[in-house]
Amino acid sequence: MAISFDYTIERDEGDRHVQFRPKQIPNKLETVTLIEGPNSSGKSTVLHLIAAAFYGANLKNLDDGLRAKVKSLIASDHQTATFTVDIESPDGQLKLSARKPDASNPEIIVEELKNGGKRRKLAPDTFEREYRLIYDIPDDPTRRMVQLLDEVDAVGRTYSGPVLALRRRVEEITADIQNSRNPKRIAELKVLLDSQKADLENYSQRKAFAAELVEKLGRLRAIKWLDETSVELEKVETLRRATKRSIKREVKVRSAASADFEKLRSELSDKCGRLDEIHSSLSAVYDGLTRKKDKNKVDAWRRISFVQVVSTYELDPNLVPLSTDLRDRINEARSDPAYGKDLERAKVYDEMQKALHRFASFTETLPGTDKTVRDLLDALAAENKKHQQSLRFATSFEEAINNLQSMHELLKEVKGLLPKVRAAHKTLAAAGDSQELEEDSEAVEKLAARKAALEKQLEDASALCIKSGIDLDDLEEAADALESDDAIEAFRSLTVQQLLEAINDHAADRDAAATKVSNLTRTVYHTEQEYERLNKKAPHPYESRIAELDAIKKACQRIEVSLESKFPQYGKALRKLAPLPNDPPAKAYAEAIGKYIASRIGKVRHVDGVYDVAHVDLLAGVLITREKRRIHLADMGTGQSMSAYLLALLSADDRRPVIALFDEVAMMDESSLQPVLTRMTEMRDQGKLLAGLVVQRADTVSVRAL
Amino acid sequence: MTTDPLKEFFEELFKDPLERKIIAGAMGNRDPDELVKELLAELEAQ
Repeated sequence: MAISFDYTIERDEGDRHVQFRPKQIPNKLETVTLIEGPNSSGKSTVLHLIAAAFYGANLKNLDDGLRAKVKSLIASDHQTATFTVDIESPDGQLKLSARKPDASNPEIIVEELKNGGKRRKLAPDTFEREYRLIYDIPDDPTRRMVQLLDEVDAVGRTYSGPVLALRRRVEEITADIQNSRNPKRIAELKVLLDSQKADLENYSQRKAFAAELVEKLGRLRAIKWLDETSVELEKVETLRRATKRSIKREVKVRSAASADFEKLRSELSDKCGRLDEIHSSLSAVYDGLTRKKDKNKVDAWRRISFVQVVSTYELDPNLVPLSTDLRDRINEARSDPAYGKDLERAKVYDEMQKALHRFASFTETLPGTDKTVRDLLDALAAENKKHQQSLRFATSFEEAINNLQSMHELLKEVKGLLPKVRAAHKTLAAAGDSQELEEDSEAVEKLAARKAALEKQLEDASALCIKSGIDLDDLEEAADALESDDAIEAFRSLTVQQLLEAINDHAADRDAAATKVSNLTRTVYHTEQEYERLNKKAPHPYESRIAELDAIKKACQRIEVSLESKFPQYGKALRKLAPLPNDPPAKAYAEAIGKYIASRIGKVRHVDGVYDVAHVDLLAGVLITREKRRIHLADMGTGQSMSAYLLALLSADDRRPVIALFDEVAMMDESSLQPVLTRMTEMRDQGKLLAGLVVQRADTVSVRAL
Repeated sequence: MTTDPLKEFFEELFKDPLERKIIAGAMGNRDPDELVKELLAELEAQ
């Protein structure tokens, strides 16, 4: 028999432990078998068992109820199971064996034996890669039909691997060509090299031109600077000398005038000093001889100042009348008779006193008198005291008269001196004041400093000329050479400062060009190296096929995007029965998937006929036949639509041997079930089906091999 | 049922001859070097 199995299930039902083992359903079955039976006859358990044995718990689109049943046979809280399942291909060349030996361990061991060779253990992923397990309850066929898209996506993804490998290989070949002798690349490199060399030449010329211009402008500036500095220095020196001479002249004139003036002024000052003394001594006499009513004259006399005359060069106009008045008053006092007698007596007594004084030590009495010389001297002294005032007046009047005479003479001299002093003062003022002289001296100092700076500048300009290669002994020749040079025509009218700015600008151009030349020299060197390296290489057989290789690479990339991204995206939308984007790729996908699913279904029985399905509109739930008849899945008998779905499942374009398990096909009658069973037997005969079990509910147990 | 519905399906989706040949090569799990050679020959023939 092709299929054999055994199992022991221990179930805890709370109040009891129940054991299940194969009972009503035989444990050996043919490759394609239809099992019918009532509920709890164990018919579905057979399918759960076979699915669990061959890793069915991992099936992607397994019905949730079936998955729970399958899992409960592997690990469960309320039951434990051990089992063995063996499947042998109809030709006996292939045997699959699955066993779960330990009730408490979920591990399942699957082994393969091919052509009597060595047994091979199959892990879940290996089994899935090499065998196809289909386990389904065919309810809601419209919804389930879109699950066929999973297969399309999965297969599409298996294609993306080889496409990626192809693209990688193309990229490797392209890289190899780049590293091989590539005439196109060499030609491109030659063009690049020529262009870089032309750039290098261009920048070298620009650098040389700028350097030459900078040099010429440097010479032009140096000569101009030297020339301008010389002229300026000459001007400053001329001005300095002229100013200095002018100062000398002024100083000379001024010092002569000043000496004259000072001499006269000094003489005036002496005389005025003496007048001032006399005036002061006369003031007391004037006051003594003047009564109260005329005291204003004395006040006016006292206000006369001879010190002022030294600065004003003018005499007080009251001086002459007041001195005359004073003389008159002295003469009047002297002419008084009482004053004359007293004065005479005082003189006599005084003379006598002086005469007797020599004999003061003679103590004898004088003849005719009873008095000694001392007695006479004392008597004369006592008498003389009475006339002392007259004597003092006399002395005073004499002095005053003498002083007035002296004043008169001095005034005469001063009056002669004053016009001379005034004239000398005028001459001195005309010789210029000292502030002007000071300013002129400052100007000379400034000019001297300017001269020193210009001399230093002249040295710098000379040094610059020498540095610029100009012979200072032949400046004219250098200037003539620059004069006839058209290259600097536009710069000749510039100032020294403007020339410096122009030099800086062109020096910046020269340096920028130099940097460019340096960089380009390196670039040209590297390009030349690369050019020579490529020329020495052996050619690649595909060196002329770069464009085609690129086209292959791009085609690969488009396919990868479609397989990895676009198609799964469309599939995802269709699984939700959502419309696809309204663009050509999505429309093409919908058309192709419709055709593909139609090809999976093949023929359907509807009403009284059998039809070839040409297209399936998944969104509309419509099958379109070759005769263009539109059959809505909803209008089909449930059994017929289930049949269509199961046929589609079986018809996958897959090289893997199939184990197909269909449960609860209760809604399918003989006419709808028969195409499925027929497909199974065809597949078995083609060596594509290892096991095909269909379970249907019935009142009695029936196991029918086909 | 056609003999190779998936091939038809992908041929429907990849109309460009080059893409179609590449996907056919991927279906056949062809050696990349051989496939490149073949594709270049095809392109040259065009």
